[in-house]
Amino acid sequence: MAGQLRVYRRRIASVKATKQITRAQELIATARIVKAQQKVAASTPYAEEITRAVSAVASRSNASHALTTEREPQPGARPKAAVVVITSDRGFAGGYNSNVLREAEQLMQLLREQGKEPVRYVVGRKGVSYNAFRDRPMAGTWVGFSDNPAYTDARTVADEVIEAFLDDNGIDEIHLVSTRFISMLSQQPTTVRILPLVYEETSEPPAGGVFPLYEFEPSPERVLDELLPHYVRARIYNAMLQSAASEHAARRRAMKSATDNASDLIDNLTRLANAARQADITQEISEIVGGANALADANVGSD
Amino acid sequence: MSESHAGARRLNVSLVAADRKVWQGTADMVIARTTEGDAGVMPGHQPILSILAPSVVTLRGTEEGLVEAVVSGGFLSVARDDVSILAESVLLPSEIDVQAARDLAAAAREAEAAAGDDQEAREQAEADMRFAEAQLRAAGDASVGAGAGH
Repeated sequence: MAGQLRVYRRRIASVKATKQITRAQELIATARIVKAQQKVAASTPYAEEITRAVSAVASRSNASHALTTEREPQPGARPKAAVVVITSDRGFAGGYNSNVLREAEQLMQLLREQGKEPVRYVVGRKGVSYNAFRDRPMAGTWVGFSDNPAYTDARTVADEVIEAFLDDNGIDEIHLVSTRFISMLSQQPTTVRILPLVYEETSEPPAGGVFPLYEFEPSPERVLDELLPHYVRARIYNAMLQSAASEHAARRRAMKSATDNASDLIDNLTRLANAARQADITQEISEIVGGANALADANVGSD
Repeated sequence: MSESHAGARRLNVSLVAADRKVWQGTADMVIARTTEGDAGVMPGHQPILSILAPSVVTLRGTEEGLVEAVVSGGFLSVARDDVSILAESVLLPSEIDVQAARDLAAAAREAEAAAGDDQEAREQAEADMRFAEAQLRAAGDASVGAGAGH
């Protein structure tokens, strides 16, 4: 019976060690969410201004531009659509990666149904290993910065995708799959088409008022040429920052429930260990009492 | 300087970099170098959207007097006395790392030499060079112009 107690004690020790790890991960993630949120907020003015400028040129100039119009598919060739997926480098984040990967799979399914050929661009070690394990081709992979992306990281990714987009035999559309940070408790995997631009017919004035009659220098086409790479980079940068914040929030939540589970397990195991110890003691006492009684009976018989 | 303009229309200026808002305030005049040449913007300017060259942007008559900032390129947008200067990198003189700028200039010079017939690489190298030179000029470094390739 003493063996039982030893087994419980060993399990308690191991669960305690796990709990310490998950608790530390939880605290680290909590501290990093705030920083990640600040970075999202800091990058917002630029993203808004660039988006506004792009909308102004695209809506005012009637410029027919490679980046704003859908390309006529070449006869016999399936149009290609780039799918940029942003995942995390590390696990321990609950459903974060599987949610965003599922969203990407759904998008690719949809693109295939539309007769397009999806081309994968994957950011984050988890997404890369997911696709590599399934032997799926990836046109580009980037790892190592998912929890704290810098603008230059977004630029590296964006420039490669833009280059493929501008190539005549390259891709015809750019889609971005990432996780939107809504609040500490809610993160939503989202899909957006970055290029060609999606026109929205609306009667509402754009944010910040109706566009004035801009004069474009040197020409609307040149301004658009110059703006669009910046626009793509800003969009990807913003998506990376939001995904980083979401990653930390998802990790915090996953680690919190792991810590809570470990606490429950420790409580239960402690109770079982106590019961086992009591049982040991009770048995020992009954053995002694039984032995003493037997001796007493034997003595009575011999008298 | 600002007293003489009390009550007059002023420009609302914001300098925005990709990862932060660098400066925001009012000014009497903004001088920036676009790809078409230097442009001075005063209140009442017509709405424009132009491409900036890597250069020093000067704001006159702000609350702090003269403000200078180095931009890595980007855009100048003017509408209803609101001026936005957008660039991937915007540096105030106090933020300029002279050594880093010199390294960038040296790297750009090498890249330009190695570019050969590659037009794109050459343009990138020239833009980097101008950005580095603008930084050094704004930081008041003496060795400006050494190896200026344009």
